[in-house]
Amino acid sequence: MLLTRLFAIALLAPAIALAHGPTRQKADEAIEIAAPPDKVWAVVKDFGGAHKWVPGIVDTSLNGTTRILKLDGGAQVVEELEAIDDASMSLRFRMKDPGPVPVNNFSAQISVSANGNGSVVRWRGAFYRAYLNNDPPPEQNDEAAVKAVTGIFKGGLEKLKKVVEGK
Amino acid sequence: MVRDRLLAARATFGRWLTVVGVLALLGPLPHVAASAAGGPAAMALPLAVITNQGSDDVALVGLGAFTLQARVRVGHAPAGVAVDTPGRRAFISNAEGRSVSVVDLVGGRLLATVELGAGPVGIAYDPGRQRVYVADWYRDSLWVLTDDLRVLAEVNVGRAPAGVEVSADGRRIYVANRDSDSVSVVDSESLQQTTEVPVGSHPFGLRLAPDGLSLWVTNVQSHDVSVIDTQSGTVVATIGVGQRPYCVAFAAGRAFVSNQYSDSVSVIDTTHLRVEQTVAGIVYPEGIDSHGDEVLVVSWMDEELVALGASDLRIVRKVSLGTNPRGFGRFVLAE
Repeated sequence: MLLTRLFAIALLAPAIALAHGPTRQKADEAIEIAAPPDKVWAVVKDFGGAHKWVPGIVDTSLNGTTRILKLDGGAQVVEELEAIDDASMSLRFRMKDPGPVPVNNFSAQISVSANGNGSVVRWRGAFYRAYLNNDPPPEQNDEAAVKAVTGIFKGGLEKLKKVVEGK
Repeated sequence: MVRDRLLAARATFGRWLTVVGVLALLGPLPHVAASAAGGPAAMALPLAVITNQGSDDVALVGLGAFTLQARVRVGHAPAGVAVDTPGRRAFISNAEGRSVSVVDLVGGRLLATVELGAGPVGIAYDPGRQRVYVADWYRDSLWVLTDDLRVLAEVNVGRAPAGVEVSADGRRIYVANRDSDSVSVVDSESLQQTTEVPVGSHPFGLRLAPDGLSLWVTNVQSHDVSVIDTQSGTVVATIGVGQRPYCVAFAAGRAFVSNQYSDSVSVIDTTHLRVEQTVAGIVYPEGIDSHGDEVLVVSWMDEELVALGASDLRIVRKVSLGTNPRGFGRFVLAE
């Protein structure tokens, strides 16, 4: 009885429990595409061609392994290609400057693999929220970071599917 | 014995409640996972205790069969773990819950959670003095607690302290200060920092070699490992590893370093202090420890515990964990 009551009190005390320190967050999205992996990989591996399939990017300029993503509205994001492998059809990159994306220390990997007669593309990212101290404002908290990155991944994969399938 | 321990824990429960304010509870509760057999059963040893930061629990993995035996709910966003081998318990730091939990590893259940500081991260246990040491990321301090989680002292260390390690004799506590690029050496009698050793850029994890003569520190921003001679208190080697090294473990005369951004483990010859090989294919490896001839690595991204042969460097087996697992600290309870 006492324990039950204490448990209820614990549930009713979010003010303390929701105080935050920085914790790495994850986004993990995948999509099936009705096209052979080679064809999908040809689009994904083009590090300077992100604007062709990621919504919200109007242009990409590539300088060596660094790309600048010019966003709708004028802001920009700078990303660095860290590894790319044709054999495993995977690439890995990180953000050097997240621009308006509410994250820190963002890194991601995209891989393409066979799925029956088609492909599956998986996009995974690891990142921290924008606000690195305790008690972040809502627009810079963990939920805001996960929501923003998940939105980019989902939107990107859906458009990639349309671009590759020619729809 | 289990019953005695639980009764003892219950007896101290009231004190915790009044002294520090308890967030969580004791005994068989709905959030304590039952064993596969249906009810709480004794955990088979040896055991790995892995913090699942995204699901607010710890996974107890039996290392014999390499299966998940239970998941025990702890505080919010657990990160650090320290196993108390003689007491068959694990101490857990809940980074966002600003609390520390103690888990009974025989019954596989939470004993208590108490509030602590502003950002508990690294945690270590000294069985000799029966003390728990906890680094506080935001208070730039090391908390010193009794094994029933009463605060004995708060010691000033460097900025953003992360990993904690205790010497085998319990006389020294080592703390990696991420934002001071140093390791603090704290004396366990005076409870003062006696030395601060400069290391690489942004040290995070650290581990003493099995002989206690060297302390290995991973520097996440300079992508290397500083090896400190524990007698002289100076860095005797700096070894380049993969990107964002997280922590170190030892087995078969080798050091194993988890490289978060390289999806790999660097294998270092501890005699010649050079990288022998790099094992690829463990995605976002974080917490690392060893048991016998196996190195156990937590894959944060794949949410698995991966066992690597320390001699043949082959991935032997894997088991699924909870969400965003970290396992930061010494997480193996041997038999």
